[in-house]
Amino acid sequence: MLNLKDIHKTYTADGVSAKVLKGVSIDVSEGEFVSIVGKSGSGKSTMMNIMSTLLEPDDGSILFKGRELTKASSAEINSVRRNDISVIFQAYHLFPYLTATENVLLPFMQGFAPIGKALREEAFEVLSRVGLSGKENRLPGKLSGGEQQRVAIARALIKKPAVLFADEPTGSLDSKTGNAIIDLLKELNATGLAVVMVTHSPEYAKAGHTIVSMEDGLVSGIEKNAG
Amino acid sequence: MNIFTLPFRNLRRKLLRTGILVAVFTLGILSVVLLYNVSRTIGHSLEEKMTAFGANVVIYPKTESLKISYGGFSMGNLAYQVKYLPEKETVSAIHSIELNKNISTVAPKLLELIHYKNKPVAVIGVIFAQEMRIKSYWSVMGGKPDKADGVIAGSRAAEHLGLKTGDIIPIGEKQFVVSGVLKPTGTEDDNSIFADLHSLQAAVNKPNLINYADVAALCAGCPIEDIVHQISKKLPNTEINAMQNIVKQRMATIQTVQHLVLGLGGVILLTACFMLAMFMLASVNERRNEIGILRALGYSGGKIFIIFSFESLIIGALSGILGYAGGYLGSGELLKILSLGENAHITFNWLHLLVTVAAVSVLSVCASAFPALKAAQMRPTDAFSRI
Ligand SMILES: Nc1ncnc2c1ncn2[C@@H]1O[C@H](COP(=O)(O)OP(=O)(O)OP(=O)(O)O)[C@@H](O)[C@H]1O
Ligand SMILES: [Mg+2]
Repeated sequence: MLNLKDIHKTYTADGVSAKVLKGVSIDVSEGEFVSIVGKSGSGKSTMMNIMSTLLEPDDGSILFKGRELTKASSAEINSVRRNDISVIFQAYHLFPYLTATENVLLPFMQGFAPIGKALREEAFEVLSRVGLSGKENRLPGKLSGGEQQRVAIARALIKKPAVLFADEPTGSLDSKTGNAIIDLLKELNATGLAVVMVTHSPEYAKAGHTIVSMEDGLVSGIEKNAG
Repeated sequence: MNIFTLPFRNLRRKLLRTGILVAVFTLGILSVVLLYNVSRTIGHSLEEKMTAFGANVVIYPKTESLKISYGGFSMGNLAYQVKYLPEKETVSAIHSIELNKNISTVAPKLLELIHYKNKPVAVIGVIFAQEMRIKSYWSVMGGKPDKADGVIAGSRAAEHLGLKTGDIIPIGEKQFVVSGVLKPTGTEDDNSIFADLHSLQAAVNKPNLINYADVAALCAGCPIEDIVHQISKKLPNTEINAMQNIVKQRMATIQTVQHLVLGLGGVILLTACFMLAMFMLASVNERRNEIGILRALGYSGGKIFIIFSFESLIIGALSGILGYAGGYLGSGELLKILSLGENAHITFNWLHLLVTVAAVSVLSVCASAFPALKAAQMRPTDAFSRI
């Protein structure tokens, strides 16, 4: 479903350029759970941002459902972001002045037509699916880190995407809360949602069907998880 | 909830910032509206005061014969047949034009040549109350005529004829009494004698007749051509002479004052725009993270632009309403304080309000266009400082 081939990326900052990706290829099939592991600075987040259309590669090809995204217009990219993929981050990136429900509804606030009752009910439902029943009207500041990440996941789920990208989703959480988030991701994956997750934890990486190891801007190994 | 939810929330969340911006913008608009209203009214009363320095329209009968001039007026040769205008009809016709609000003074006149001690002298029949309004420079030694038979002698006429207060001048069948002598004015008034129009008409048996009428018209709201046109429609058998140079001079003075005032208001508005741009730029930088999230959720650059511009639009529209209302109420109060209220013609105009709000909204959106554009061009990964 998503095939990245020979991706190159060089950052230039203050006149110094650094080759961060030197020809990385990763494939994600429908409903697959892919974990990406590797040392700090190996280029995991960079690769993830390119996979999720947030960053453009210098070279290489991104095929999503048969469409070449490196040649797509910005309108097409926006449509992919709106409808087909979702991203969550280590820092939950919620709007502090919007309630949990309003944060979840953010993807639908792009239009001039007001959000209807059906969508509101759906937001409630998604929030209950991630275990936040009864906390729908809280501001992020009144939620724990784990709960905030759940709101972010709910916001990612409401548009029913084909792929969920998660860059160290447990990075800011203690192990117990982290475990619960991983369990939630596994659960969602079991319903058919493809998941691509970057993690430092070998334990969490085992949640994936496929574990991609990165080292110094290259894929150093691909491991299929039998389980 | 829709795309406008975010801008509204941010305006509410940053009440202090919103308040400051609305206050500065309101002040700018308020001062423009207030100063404009006040300057218009002051311009109006200023013009009324300037009217004291003379008439600017002269109305006289059509004539083809030789001319003897008086005060810029050409009457028929006095020795031959003289044409007259009917006083009451002429005056009421002038007051009945559409722009009659702009008619400040009508001063009809009858000219009569008499001999006093065998010397010829012109007697001008005037309505003293009207005449004094257009000739505020008159200064009478002795007294102003308080009876119908009182006359005022011009300084040279008095000297030439040896006239002094209390002297009797026979005109036609009547006796007139000199009540005072004019101080030199430097005009043709110095050579003449001024009598009450109606007494003179009776004395020389020319009831209701005048040679011409001086008119002082206010031109703040309309061109003098319109006034002349309207009078000539009412009085087809007259010639009307508008003293363009006098009118233009007056208008230029008033316009300078108005331009000055509008310029000042413009500077305040410009400052407000600059402040809005600075605040918005700070806001865009502070909300990089939000912009990144929205971009990742598929918001287009255009939508981001709308979100930020809408914030400015609301600030502009709100200031437009407050500024116009404030300027409207404020100018009334200010004119009361300046005791110019009687002449005030300030009317609440919905169209002006609408135009003001629209103009200020456009202005505020333009002022924040650069920061909004900057926000729209941010890429998601630029916006997250570090992921
Ligand atoms: N915007 C940027 N500009 C310049 N250099 C960057 C930028 N983003 C990342 N880098 C550099 O690229 C390299 C790879 O970064 P990346 O974030 O992809 O690594 P990572 O594998 O996700 O690391 P970590 O595990 O610490 O998150 C690093 O050396 C980093 O300093
Ligand atoms: Mg990273």
